[in-house]
Amino acid sequence: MTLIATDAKHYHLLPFRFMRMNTGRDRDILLTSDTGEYMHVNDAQLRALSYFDVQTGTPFYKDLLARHFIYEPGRHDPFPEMAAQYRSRKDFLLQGPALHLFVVTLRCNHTCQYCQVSRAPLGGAGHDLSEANAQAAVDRLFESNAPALTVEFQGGEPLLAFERVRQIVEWVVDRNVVEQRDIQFVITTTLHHLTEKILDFAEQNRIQFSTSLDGPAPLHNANRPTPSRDSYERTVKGIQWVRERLGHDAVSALTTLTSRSLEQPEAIIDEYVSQGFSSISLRPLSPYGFATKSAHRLDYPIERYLAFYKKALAYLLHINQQGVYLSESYTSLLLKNILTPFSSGYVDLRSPAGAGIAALVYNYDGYVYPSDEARMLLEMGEDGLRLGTVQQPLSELLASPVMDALLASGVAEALPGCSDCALVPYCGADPIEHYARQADPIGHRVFSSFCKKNMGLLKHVFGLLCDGDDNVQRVLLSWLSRRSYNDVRFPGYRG
Amino acid sequence: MTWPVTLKLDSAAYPLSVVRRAAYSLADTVAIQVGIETNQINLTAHPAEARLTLSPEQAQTLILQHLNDFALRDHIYRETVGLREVLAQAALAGCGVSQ
Repeated sequence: MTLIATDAKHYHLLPFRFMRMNTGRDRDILLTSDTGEYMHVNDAQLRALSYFDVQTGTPFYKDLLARHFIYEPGRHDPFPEMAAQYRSRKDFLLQGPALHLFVVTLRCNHTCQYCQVSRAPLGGAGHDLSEANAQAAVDRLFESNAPALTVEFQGGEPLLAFERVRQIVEWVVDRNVVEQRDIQFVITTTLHHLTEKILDFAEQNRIQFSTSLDGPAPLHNANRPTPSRDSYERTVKGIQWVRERLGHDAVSALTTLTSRSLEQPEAIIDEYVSQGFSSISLRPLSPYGFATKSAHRLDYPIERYLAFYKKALAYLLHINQQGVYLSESYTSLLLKNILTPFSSGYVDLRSPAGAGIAALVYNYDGYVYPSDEARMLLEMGEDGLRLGTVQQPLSELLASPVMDALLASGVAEALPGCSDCALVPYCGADPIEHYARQADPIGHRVFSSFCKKNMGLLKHVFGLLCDGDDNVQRVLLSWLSRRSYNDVRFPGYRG
Repeated sequence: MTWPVTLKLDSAAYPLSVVRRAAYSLADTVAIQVGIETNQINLTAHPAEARLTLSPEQAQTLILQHLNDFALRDHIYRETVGLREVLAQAALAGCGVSQ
């Protein structure tokens, strides 16, 4: 007797996740595949899809087939194409750490209450990176196999230790004659200590500046106190000086949002417009360092941040339609994750987590950390997240027990809650934030600010992509493609 | 209906893994106690916070919706079991990384 196996299913499912978006729309359910494809469907469609009841040849069937939610065994093999898409999304895994942060000093002239790192007085001794440790850190930098490396100087105020910055840049440039990497230098600074000599050196070595601008003068100066109470004026003067010498795009700015910032989204955005920036980063306060000690005065629930963000984004979308180009950097990163086959590469939106894999921090004291946030935890009395010292080879640092722990809790697709979440292809894992907030690197998603933030923002962006009018779509696409609003002619992709 | 909300589930329709996932996902709204009997799973749900404004009827609907969604996810998982691993292996093989 011969048994003939038959399969009544005319299609098979490919792995996908779904989520109710609670928008009130008919097609309220978001479907996503592991490769980042997405569709909006209704309950009946989801059930028909899941129980093999979608009729061949219908537009819905063709959509499901094209976006790799289903396949027809024997007729079409989707795996080579899906594997290529998956590889593109995770290509950051094939490189070593690309972002190397050198904490050249802890000294700083500011006394910001929310400061995320320890700071030392201007003349404080023993708070600078030694020459020997700086040299070892450059060795570690070149032990990474990443073809493109970013060398970022942080503090304290790194310009207070400019001679060490100069030395490191010169060593890196010398070594790179042989190494031939694509290297970008960035100094994160208040710009208060700029000199002609520093700008000459920056010009020679194509160094970029990243500064902090929290909004208009009263807000910035309240957030960033100095003895002379002129932090805003000195930073704005520094921005203008860098632009005059190195070009308009040689300086970018980041915003730190305190509780009082959340009351004035338009004023913060208007300040960025008036200073001629093309990008603004509306990031919430992090739960680290001094920020935690001052949390009762400065911190805020993530729901309040989300309300602020939506208001700010609406205002940004409005002014962009009037001819101003000012993108919000986090929305731009999310758009890249949603609308392109590539990862934004942003450390916080990676899975596996970016800490250590993507970034390394060489602290002033010679210890190495997997991220800036990990060294900030020192201020909470937590030094357990050290990878080792800068004198150890990179292979040893990346094989440390801390990296094992971070990787075990840093793959979003395998975390409780995230593994069922339809937004996981566009999101990341942040075991260090969960450790800081919940004393557990995995944490509980339902109580996670990281999860609430990313879920809130991703849902909002999906809502804009789905429901936004043509003008909103054009602004979003202009941010994605970094072109002006008027150069984007197409109404967008609605999925 | 009053608090706590109780549900008796057929474990063939709602396996324990499904119940656990639903309870996890609702942890900020309701605290769910899970009891197991032969072929049956009993749920007892309490408000997660005293200030919760959800009525017991709304809570029951919410819990059932989550249970049904997680049961559907379980069905999708069983239909696609092993394919994620095939995909990851194919992706890694394409860039010269072997298992």
